[in-house]
Amino acid sequence: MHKRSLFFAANLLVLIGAIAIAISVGASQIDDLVSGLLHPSANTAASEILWQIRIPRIATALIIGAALGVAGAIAQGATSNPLAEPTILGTSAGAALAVVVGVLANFITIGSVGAMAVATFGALLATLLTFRFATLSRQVSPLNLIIIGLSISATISAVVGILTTAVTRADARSISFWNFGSLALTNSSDILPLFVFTALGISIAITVAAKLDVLSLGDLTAKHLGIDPRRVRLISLVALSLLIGAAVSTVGTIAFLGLAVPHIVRLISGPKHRQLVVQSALLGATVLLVADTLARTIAKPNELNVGLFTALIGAPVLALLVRNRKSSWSQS
Amino acid sequence: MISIKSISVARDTNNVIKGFNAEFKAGTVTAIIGPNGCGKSTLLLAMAGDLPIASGEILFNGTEVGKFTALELAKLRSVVLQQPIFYLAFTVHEVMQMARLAGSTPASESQALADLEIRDLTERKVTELSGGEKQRVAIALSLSIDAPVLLLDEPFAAQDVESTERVIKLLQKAAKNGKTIILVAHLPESELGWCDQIIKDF
Repeated sequence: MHKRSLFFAANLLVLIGAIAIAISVGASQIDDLVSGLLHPSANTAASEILWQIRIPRIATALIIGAALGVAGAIAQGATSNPLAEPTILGTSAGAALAVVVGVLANFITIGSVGAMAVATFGALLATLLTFRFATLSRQVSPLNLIIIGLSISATISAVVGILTTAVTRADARSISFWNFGSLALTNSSDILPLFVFTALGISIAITVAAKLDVLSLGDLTAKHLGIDPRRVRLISLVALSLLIGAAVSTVGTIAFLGLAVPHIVRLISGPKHRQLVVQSALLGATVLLVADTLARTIAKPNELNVGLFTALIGAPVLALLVRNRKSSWSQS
Repeated sequence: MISIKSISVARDTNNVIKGFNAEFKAGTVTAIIGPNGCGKSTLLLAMAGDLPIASGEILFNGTEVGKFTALELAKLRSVVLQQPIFYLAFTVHEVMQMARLAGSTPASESQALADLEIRDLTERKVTELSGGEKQRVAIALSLSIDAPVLLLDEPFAAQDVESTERVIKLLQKAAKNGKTIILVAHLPESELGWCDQIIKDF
């Protein structure tokens, strides 16, 4: 079997296993798991816990994990920069600021379609700001882009932090919980819009994937081969903003996953963006589901920060792969 | 094929090229030579449509180069840069496939690889090739498109004697087939006797 299909199959198997485990563990012990699963509308404690709490949360983790994995893949592809990631380009911070301002202005509530739209817009603006700053110096050096992106992210995040702590209203606590990055406050009503935004973002990413391959030859050569690099980059940023807008407005900022997942996929199955996008969606979903399951069960009934576990799972795997395998990125 | 009428091109606020005129006929090879920093590569990039020109015009068969879409230009002229960039570890074959949009075919791809004698590199990763091999991949990529105009920036820079001679023969053959070939060279004029036109002092 081809290495890529083998990786795909392994990825899928692990994902299914993770879903099975995530369904069966939680703050309360469920004895009649199977009958609870088979009868969603039965009035038993088992079916209520499963269908109103656990399964919506699992679905949310899968969708957002996929979104973050794909977001990282296209952020890196569109900038030809291995360090690019939504939390580094300013994308996540822009989405967060838009949400906080929208909530404080009583314009939106966290998790709503409105919040996703506002967050997408904020994500796009902040990322464009990073690009604008980086290109003002005429030469977009990879290092400049990262330094400027980090600076813009830090600036916006500071404003978000001040705004959230300055609030004394009833929803202030949930905002700061959200800002911390957690899936604990998601509602099942959030899932449909979250799915639509994410599916749209991933579809755009798949459409633009072959052109991202060509961008890896540099902007000039891409142009010589008939591609408009600015247009490809803009389309990618729209996809990136949709994915991050939906994810951040629902569960806050979860770092590292977007950076690590595409690297892991590339190291195992090569740099082609079409399969990179698909595999990153799958691996991202798996990693976030496992991380969230650990976050909600390890110290139950208390919840830990999911970001602790995305880092704990992703970072060592990434370090080991980078240590043992040939990089997909040019070393010169 | 290409007419340049009194163009000026600015880079970093000073005019590198001022009031330059030239004609490039189909079926000929032209070499642009001159000292470092005299604007050879700038001229080539302007002809490729990659740099805005301050004044004058560059005409491809009578049409201003800026009037073409990116895709039209890709089919009209192919370009070999001095230092090809490969950010990601695609195989040579995967890179060659990236010219499909501009009109390359599996047949033209394998012909170009055979012409450059790099068929054995097909499954190698471009990031692991030597400088000369990377440049030959870039030349093969351009040749596989079969555009009527071929622009090359120092195609011999990283090549050994044997490979340089092979590329020269390929360029002469392409010119014989009616292509317009323009190259920036760092060779002494005495070694460019095979070119139909040499441009210096501009």
